[in-house]
Amino acid sequence: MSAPLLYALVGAGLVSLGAWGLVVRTHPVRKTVAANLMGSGAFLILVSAARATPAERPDPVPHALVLTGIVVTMATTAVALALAKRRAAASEGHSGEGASDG
Amino acid sequence: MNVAVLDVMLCAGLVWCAVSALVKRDLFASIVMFISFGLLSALAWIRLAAPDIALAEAAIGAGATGALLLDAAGVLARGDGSAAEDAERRTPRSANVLGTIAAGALFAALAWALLSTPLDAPRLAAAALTGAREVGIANPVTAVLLDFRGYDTLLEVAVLLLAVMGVMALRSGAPVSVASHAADPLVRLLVGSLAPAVLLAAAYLVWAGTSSPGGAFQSGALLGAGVIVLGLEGMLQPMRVHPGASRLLLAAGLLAFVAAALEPVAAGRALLQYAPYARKGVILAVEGILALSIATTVAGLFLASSVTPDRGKAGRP
Amino acid sequence: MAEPGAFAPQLLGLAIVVPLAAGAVSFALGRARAMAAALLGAAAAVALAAAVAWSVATGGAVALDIGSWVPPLGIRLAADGLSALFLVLAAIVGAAVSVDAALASRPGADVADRWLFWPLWLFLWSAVNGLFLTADVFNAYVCLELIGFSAVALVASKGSKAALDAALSYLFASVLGAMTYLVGVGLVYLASGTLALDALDSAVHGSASARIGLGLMLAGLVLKTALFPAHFWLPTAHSSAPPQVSAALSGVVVKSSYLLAVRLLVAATGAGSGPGLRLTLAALGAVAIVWGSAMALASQRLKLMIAYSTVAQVGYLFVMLPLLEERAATVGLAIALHALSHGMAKAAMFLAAGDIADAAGTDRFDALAGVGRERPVAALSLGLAGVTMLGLPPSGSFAAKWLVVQSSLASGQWWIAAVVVGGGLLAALYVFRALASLLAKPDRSEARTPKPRTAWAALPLAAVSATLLLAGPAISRLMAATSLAGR
Repeated sequence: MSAPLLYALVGAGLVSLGAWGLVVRTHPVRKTVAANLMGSGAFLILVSAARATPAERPDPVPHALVLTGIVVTMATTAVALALAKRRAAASEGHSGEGASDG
Repeated sequence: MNVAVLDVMLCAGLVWCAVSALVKRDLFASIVMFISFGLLSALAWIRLAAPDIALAEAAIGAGATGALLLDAAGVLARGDGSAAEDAERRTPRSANVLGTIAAGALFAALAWALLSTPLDAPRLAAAALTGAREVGIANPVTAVLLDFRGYDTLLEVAVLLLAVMGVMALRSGAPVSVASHAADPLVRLLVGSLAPAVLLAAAYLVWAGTSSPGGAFQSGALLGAGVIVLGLEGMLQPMRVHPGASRLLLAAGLLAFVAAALEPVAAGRALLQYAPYARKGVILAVEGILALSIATTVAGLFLASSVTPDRGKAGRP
Repeated sequence: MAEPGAFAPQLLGLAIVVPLAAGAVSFALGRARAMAAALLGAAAAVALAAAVAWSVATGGAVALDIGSWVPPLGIRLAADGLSALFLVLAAIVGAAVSVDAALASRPGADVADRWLFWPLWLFLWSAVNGLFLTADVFNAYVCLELIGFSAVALVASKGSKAALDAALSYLFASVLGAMTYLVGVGLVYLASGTLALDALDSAVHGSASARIGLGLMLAGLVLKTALFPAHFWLPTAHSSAPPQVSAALSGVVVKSSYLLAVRLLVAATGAGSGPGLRLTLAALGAVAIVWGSAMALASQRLKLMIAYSTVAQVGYLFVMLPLLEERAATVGLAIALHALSHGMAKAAMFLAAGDIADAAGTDRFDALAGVGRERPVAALSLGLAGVTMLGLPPSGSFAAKWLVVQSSLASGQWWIAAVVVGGGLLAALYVFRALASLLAKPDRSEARTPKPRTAWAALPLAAVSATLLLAGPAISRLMAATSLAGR
């Protein structure tokens, strides 16, 4: 077995783990972690294939896709956590329907 | 590239950290395992000859994401814990079983797919590497990101701005969460002297990005991480900018990128088809803008969601 | 290059970038001028959608290679008749949503404090346009994420606990869908070395890996489109959002991921997406029609009823898929007619429901008696939208159902006809139930405080939807520039 294949299989494992966490775990922070793991798994599969490509250097296309994906995943994290915090505040009972400060 | 002992250990560590991050009972322990996962995966990227991704992962994956997770866990773990318990209510057993079976099936399907495809197919590598040479950009990843698939990157910058808007919209009306820490004078001194170094390193990464690994994402994330540190130490309070100015700063990256995308249309070329003579300059400029935009966004996401107090009107009666 | 058609490809890029830029400007300008900038952007988006539709109708399908980089290295935008019609759907619903939000944002009213609605809304609009036009499967992923984030933020903007709960479950469903799709894209790239939609057929052919990838992409899109049983997030999200947001979500957003699913199925006709896959999706669609209608009938709240009705209507879009291969032109027309008429009618229903809930202070059916007299425009809009839900002539959904029933009988798949007709009867029940409660005699005589808001934006939407058959020739002409037959 080649090293890229090993990493790709680990990527497959991470995708499944992340999907499991997104479905089964309930705490929003853990679901967010699960989403990140799922993303990392997908990235690992792509980059392993890029490494295995027979060229003078790795296939740059998956690298670019993964860089985009990492940034998008961070945005997911930020939105999910902000939402979870707001929801927790609302269920603590002092939620406001107020204004933003512009 | 054959499997070395290091690869096996790294992979085992990745899986271990990932499993622990999901199953550990204590939220903070989970997050610490996730941050370790991010650092290990940075090593994995290096093993896979992807140093550019390693930098991004270390700064964004482990750094910024870790900081956001820790902050949220802190907020969600506070109070009487009712909210946390409410959130931690159990999924029905049937959903647990179904979810586990589905995840197992997903793994089997993925593994089968990977084992039945030759990983070393040529794909787009040759086209991208040749294309990068033709347009004279030494780092092919930069060529893909900002030229061949520049449109993806344009939308990605939009995703970042969108995330900030989403976080701002969610913050409005919510009670202020975390007060800034009163900084230790020594820490302030340390952070203050580190800041210029972070700035320099980030600028270098942008410059280097056009020829070697490193570039907008990494430098932006690094800059953003620097701002988060400043914010955490409470050093940003005196230099808080006017909300209008900060909004302009946040939107500037996307607007500049849009301008670079539309200028060719006005000149009769396709969207994002940079003029040949100006290509390198435009790409360098877009990269710099992108770095700033990512930095302000990373910092903005963090500060908007935690440190900056909401000066808005009180909620409706 | 001075010929008039030469600018047509550029319109595709502009239809995405202009609303995006307007959203960014609206955000930068802040509370005081956000709405003005966004309304300008909305007007431009409507004009651009009309221009794309016009150029497809007169000159045939259009494509733009962004940066002049030809796929598979570069990203292509492409508009055939179907994408043009979906752009027009987004434009019509978008115009109504913008007008309604502007009317509602008078001082003291619902949206005034939430100026971030405007940039978020334009980002959403830009992203659905992007998804309608992209011919690149990874670019579609970025569009899906843009749509997901802006939609979630808009749902949450209501700020109530119910809305925040709904937004959170919507977000995680959306992320799971997008990630599953992304993993599928990765496998397809691994197996085929391409991300271009057009190249998918040869890619998927003979490669187990690419077929698994295609399956994952479709699974992600099914979750995003809320096809039964992956609809669990939709009723709460669509029913607890502000009315303008519900209108945009039910009217346009679920259709955007649906269109991509159809494109994938068509692109891979020759290989992976055999009849089995289409039949599975159609079976789920049939269950969705029955389940969604039953839940709509059982719900005690107007907005929840409308949301469950969307679950059923998504079912219609999938139940026709097995007929697509044999009768691509007819079924393609049915898809366009159903998506268009349902999208407009559903948006009109949510806008009207917002008005009704505004008058009654709640949207519980048991408190709505007599509200129809207070808000005749809203009640009329609901009634007209009901014409579409029932599939009566001259609505677009009448024509769509007619075409589907004909095709299914002709190809011996009578069960599809049975489901489509039965679904119409169920829709009749829940629509009449809603109207009956609105027009019932009020049990209390006290006058409610009249509020200035009126569902003026809902009425034209519902009216256009109920008479869409009049636009039949134009729609047919656009669909003539569309091939859903696969290769």
